[in-house]
Amino acid sequence: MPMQRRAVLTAIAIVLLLLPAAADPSYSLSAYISGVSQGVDGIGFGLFPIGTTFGFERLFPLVPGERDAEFQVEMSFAFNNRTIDSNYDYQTGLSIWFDRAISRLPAATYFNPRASIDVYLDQGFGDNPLYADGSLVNLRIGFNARYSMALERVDLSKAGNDDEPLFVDSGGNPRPPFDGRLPAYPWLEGNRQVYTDYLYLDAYLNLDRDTPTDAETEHGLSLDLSFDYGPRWLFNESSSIVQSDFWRLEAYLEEKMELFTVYQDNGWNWVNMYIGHSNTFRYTGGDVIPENMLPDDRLRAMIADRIWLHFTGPQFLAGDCFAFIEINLYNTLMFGGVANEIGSSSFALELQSSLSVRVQVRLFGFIRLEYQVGYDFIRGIWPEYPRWWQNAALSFYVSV
Amino acid sequence: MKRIIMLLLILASIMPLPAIGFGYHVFDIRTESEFGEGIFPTSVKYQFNFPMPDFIEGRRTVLAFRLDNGLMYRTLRQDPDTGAILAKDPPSYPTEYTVLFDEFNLFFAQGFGETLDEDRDLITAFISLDGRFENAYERLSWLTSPDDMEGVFSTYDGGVRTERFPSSSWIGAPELAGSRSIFQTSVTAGVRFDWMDDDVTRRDGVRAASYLRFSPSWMPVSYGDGADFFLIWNELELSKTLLTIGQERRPELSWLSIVLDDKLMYRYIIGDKVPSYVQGGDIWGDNDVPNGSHVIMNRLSMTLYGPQINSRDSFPSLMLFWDFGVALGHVLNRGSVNEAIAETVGSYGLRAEFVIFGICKVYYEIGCSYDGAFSEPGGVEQRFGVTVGI
Repeated sequence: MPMQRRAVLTAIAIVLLLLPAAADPSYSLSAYISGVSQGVDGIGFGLFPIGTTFGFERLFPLVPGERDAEFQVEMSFAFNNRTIDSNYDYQTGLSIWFDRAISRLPAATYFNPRASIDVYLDQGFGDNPLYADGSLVNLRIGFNARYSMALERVDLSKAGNDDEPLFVDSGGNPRPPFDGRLPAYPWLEGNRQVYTDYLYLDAYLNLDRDTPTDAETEHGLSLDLSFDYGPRWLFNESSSIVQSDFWRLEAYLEEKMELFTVYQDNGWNWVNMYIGHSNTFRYTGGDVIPENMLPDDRLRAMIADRIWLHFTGPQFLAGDCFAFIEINLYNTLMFGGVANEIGSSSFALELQSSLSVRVQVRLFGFIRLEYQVGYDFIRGIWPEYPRWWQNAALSFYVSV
Repeated sequence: MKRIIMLLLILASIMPLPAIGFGYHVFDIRTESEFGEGIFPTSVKYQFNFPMPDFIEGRRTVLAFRLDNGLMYRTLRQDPDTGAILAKDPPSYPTEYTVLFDEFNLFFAQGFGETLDEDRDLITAFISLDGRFENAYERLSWLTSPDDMEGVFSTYDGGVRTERFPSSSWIGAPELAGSRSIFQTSVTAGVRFDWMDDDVTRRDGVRAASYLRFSPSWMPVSYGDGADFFLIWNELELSKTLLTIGQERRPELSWLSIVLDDKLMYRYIIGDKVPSYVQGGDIWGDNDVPNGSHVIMNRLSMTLYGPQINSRDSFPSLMLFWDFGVALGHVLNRGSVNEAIAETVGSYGLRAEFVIFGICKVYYEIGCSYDGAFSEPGGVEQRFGVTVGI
């Protein structure tokens, strides 16, 4: 199906999801910014954001006797380089840990402009016993459309750069192996412009407190079940190249318990602490997994366990100015067949354990200063570890 | 400059800040036709409002941080070596290229006087500290097929890539010199006047704005040496609803309305290096107003709005427009050459649009550029598209 027609169909799908919200005569949307990316090396000394996530939301009555439903459209874009993961045979999808003699793509970088539009309708039912304004159960239906390009590196046109193009030869014709089928890398096939869509259904059970600024103590239990479905018939095939044909099931259970809270006179916190535990199960099925849905190390199944201790210091200046320290212990088991492998003949098991300490300072709801240090212990297909690691970052992110 | 920034930060820190979080507004979402068929966003302009008490009761005091970032296409209008206007002798190589950009404004605004809308003020005075980062590359379609090997900055001659302007001084496009990356700070001060009754499909009144932007090359924190200018920008907007037929059951909505609008802009620039992002001069069609020291642009339009369907943000419309521009004075970015200019450009056309809930717009435009600058050809163009965003 031509790209233009698919794009128009996407717009129609967005409008269809919007119809129930528009039945409310006072229809209008509130805007929000939910994320501003960090910069990247090579573009303005890494100081300037190269992507933004923003959106519009609207609350309106949909089911009589229940809380207002929420309509949201969220858009994002990012323009930065990406590195090809060359650990998989581009013709068969076999991994290098299964067969060292695979046909590998060059481990090169390319420019990856991309954007997405995500639209959903969310309806709550019942009452959350720990949050007076919240629902006990939320059901959500959504649609996600994504567009991505794989282009030559942006610095290729800079003066003094004598590098050869990655995808084309000097005549502009596709350079092998990008001139043929790449089942393991469908986003690098054909004209390398990828347009993928998926539908999703989410169900949430909410038995936990509201934390408007993230400085408050978290307490309670929540369960999320989600199903993502991006079959080829959902505008995911172009010029006989299937760019997406997948499904993903995920379950997430989280329990948190408040240990103590000391309040200031104005209701803000001096200090508080809670302990949390969560489990995640995820399975990704289907013949063609798009780039943004690939599971870690391409293993289809994942079970994760996390225990954490969270200590928050005093709120100062404003409600969303505070610092916290968090100690995390992660254990993640990845297993199953390899995504985008033709024939699905290989199978692997991998255990990743990580102990980390995270210190974060948040200022005015959109500035985050973070330092992390951790120790990784990994058994399985990538046995190079264990190792110590650390990182620090300044980021701008709105979580209001 | 550092003292001013520190002063503003100290001022912000001693304000009473009981509010949690910030107010934020999205002003503009833009797309490019070569990116996702023009449906997916490529840039967005938005603003965070710091919690501030109103200094004058009932009038708005705003301290805000405004960001505009993303990717956009731009056209090379002057010869990089000499600054000669390319419209005089159109080149055979592509002139369109890509710019990654970030612009921030830390600004303070104070309103005075009542106007027709209680959420706005009659007069608003403002001052801002600005910064603009740009990094220019070839267009997105460059090196994607044998027909897309030629770029603005490089050419494939006999299969070998070479610089198109190897010894360029980049007089004609100063922000593209060197690594084609620039960060330039500036100070802007201005005033807005607002006496407009604006209800989406009905408008009556007048708006005006005037501001000065001071951006010498020695501004602190700047790099790239691609800007050195002083700008005066003035806008005047007049609107009159000629006809309106309200809906009987819901009089706040209309069955039909006809609105006449006129938007006039005048800008004056002094400076040796005037980057593209402040030049202005875009009118409908491929022809732009040349980069003269004085530029005047005007759009006269009449819009026929069809019925507002259930909500005020869903309606069809049909607009007839006439764009007119004139460049006067001398050509900017011309180096030591003092070249006088008096050139007009013009286009007219029709735009049919269906706005769906204020988010999705389906449009068709057809227009004619009847007066190109110098030897630029005129002609009829048409466009069809869908955009998502507000």
